Amino acid sequence: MKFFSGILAFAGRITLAFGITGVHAATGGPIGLADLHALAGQSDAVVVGIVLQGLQTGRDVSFLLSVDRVLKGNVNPSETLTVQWMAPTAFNGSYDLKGRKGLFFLQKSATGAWQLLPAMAGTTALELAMLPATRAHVAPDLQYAAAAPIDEKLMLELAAAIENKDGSAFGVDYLAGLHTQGTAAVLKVYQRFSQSSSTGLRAYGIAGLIREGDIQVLSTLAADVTAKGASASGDLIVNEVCQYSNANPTAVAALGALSGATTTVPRLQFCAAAALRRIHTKETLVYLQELLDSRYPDVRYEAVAGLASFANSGSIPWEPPLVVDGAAVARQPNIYKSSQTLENFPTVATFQQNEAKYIAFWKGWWTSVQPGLH
Amino acid sequence: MNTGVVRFVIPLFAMFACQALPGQDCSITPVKAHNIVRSSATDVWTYAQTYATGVGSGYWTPAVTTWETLNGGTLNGRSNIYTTAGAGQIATNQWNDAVTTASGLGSYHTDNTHTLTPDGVSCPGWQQTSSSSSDDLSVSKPTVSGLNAIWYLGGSPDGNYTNTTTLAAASGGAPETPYWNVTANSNKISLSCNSCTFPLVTSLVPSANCMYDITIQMSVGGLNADPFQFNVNEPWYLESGGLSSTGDYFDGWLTVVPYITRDRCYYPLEHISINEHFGPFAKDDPAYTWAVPTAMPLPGYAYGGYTWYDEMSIRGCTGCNPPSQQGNPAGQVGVDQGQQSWGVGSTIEQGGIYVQQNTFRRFSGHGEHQNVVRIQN
Repeated sequence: MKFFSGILAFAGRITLAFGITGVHAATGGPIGLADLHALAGQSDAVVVGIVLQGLQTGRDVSFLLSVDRVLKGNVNPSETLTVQWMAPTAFNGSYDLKGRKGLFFLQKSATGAWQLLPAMAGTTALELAMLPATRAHVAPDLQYAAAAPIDEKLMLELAAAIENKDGSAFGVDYLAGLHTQGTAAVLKVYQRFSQSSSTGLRAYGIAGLIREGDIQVLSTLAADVTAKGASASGDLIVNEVCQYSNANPTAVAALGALSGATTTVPRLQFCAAAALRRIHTKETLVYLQELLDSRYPDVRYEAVAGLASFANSGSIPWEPPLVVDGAAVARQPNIYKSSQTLENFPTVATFQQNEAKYIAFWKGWWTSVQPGLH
Repeated sequence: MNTGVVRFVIPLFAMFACQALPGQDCSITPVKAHNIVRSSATDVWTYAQTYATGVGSGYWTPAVTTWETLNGGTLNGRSNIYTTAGAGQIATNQWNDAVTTASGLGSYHTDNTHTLTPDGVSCPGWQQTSSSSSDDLSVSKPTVSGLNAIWYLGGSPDGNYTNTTTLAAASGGAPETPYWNVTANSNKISLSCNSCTFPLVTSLVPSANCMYDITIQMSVGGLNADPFQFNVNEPWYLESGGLSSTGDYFDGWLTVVPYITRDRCYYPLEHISINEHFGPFAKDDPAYTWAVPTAMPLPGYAYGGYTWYDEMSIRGCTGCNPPSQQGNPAGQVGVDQGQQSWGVGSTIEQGGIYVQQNTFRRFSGHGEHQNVVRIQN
């Protein structure tokens, strides 16, 4: 599955829409999605609009933006704003920007001009400095009230753009950076997408629901993978499984089923194992000990790390919080920690040097503690 | 007899009113001295004294009675210990109790009764005077507070990924200067000072385990705090974040290669800086004259989430094929290639932890990372 078909197709449309003068540039470098919650906080205005006229000349970007919708700020719909930006040197060029539409994060400068705050971190072109937005009809489920929190507005704007195939740039990844987890609005969007007839939208929906800790969708995914193999999942979904953190025992059972159903799907089995490790409650142990025999070394490491995280809970650095159905729960003081369990929690590199030793230890540990677990 | 510093001296009463017979002045100022003192980290000194000052002090006999408890229980049989001294002298109860990590810790309490009794012959008509006093002292082990896990990033911090931390000693009331020592895996961290209250810990190399394998021992006057367990982690690995994807980019193409940065315990890291470095480029096809890319950084604070992407793109190019204009397969003509290396934990080119090298290869219609070698630090 291609992550970014949306943004790349979007960029392609720009090519057709706007002129380009003779430049010759190899550009790029590492980029990452900006934290939209923080970006909105830094912005004096967040608007959806279309460029009436404007140019990029060299690094200087300047355009007149006609505002369609206002998510934040003392700006009116139909107002025209003058927006400026200094593109990175690597993206020096000459472009006509007329017709460019999107969601813009704007900051008022000391001179009163609006400065564009890029939505992509790193050395990025104007095309990635704004979010996609739709000007087409927005379904009622994806509309928001004026008083809604800014994160919810951003999430619904992105969802509308995704649904209208109006530039699905990094959609779910951007949504992940918004503080909307658990809200009715975000659940409604993901459920809507997950029931779509579009394969792409359905993947967004399933991935989003997994991110929200949904148990049913995880169980369904396990059943689908069992029935259809790797084709039932894509990178979007797999990456969300990696971050799954709901420790509800039913969810753990679904993860366990997924880990068992993916013995021939390395990345998905790894992600199921990583989620079990992250959760590391006693319910995860039966699945983790089975994964000690996985054919994939990174899965075996996650199994060792998960068992060790349970046994040494409270005494390991950067231990993830325990979350059950969206609520943080204190981990129970464990009775299994010993000098041996501590010594047998290796780094990946140490594990690779003597894998058999660690696998044997944790198999033995499981055999010894299993009868007393209840 | 106490010859130490009297910390707590209180007159029993104001000067006793003179009721002496003609020719005999028995006036005194009764004095009680008492305290519980942490004289050193390993010693608690308890004392209670009664004596008199003034012209008549030689006619008064002092006495002191002490009941001392530790954590609510009578300490070493000190239940109403009565001590007296000769007229004009000082009656003293005093004890020194050893403090170790196993004993002598807790709440000390004394109840004292101080009496002065006049010589009935020399001071007829004078009455015995009595008063009470009490003291409390809490004695605890020294303790250490502060961050117990930091990062090794090649010598510098990166945003919230700190390579140093300042620890703090609480001496528990002991008067000595805390002393710090690394007693396990001392090669992994350094301390800015040994005899101090707030040492700066700096990472030198990462831990070998995903638990606290470094032990810092702080002591005060020979009394040990609980060992302070410590860990140094390190960004370690670039995991593929999924398949690369290519699309049109004006008249050229743009490929994104997703990555997730993982630490030595294979947890994903977010908000960590990335830098790249290019070696010399070689042409696969001399007909192409594409510009060589420039190394760029990605500051950790600027992006969210675990996934970041290497953006490879070319436009205004001779002989390139935008994907929308390609057949299938297409865009497969090799153009050029160069070695690309990745550092994590710094925006400085070749700074931070060197985690991967790969061939940065460009084709007529897309880019690829080939020959990926993960650096095992």
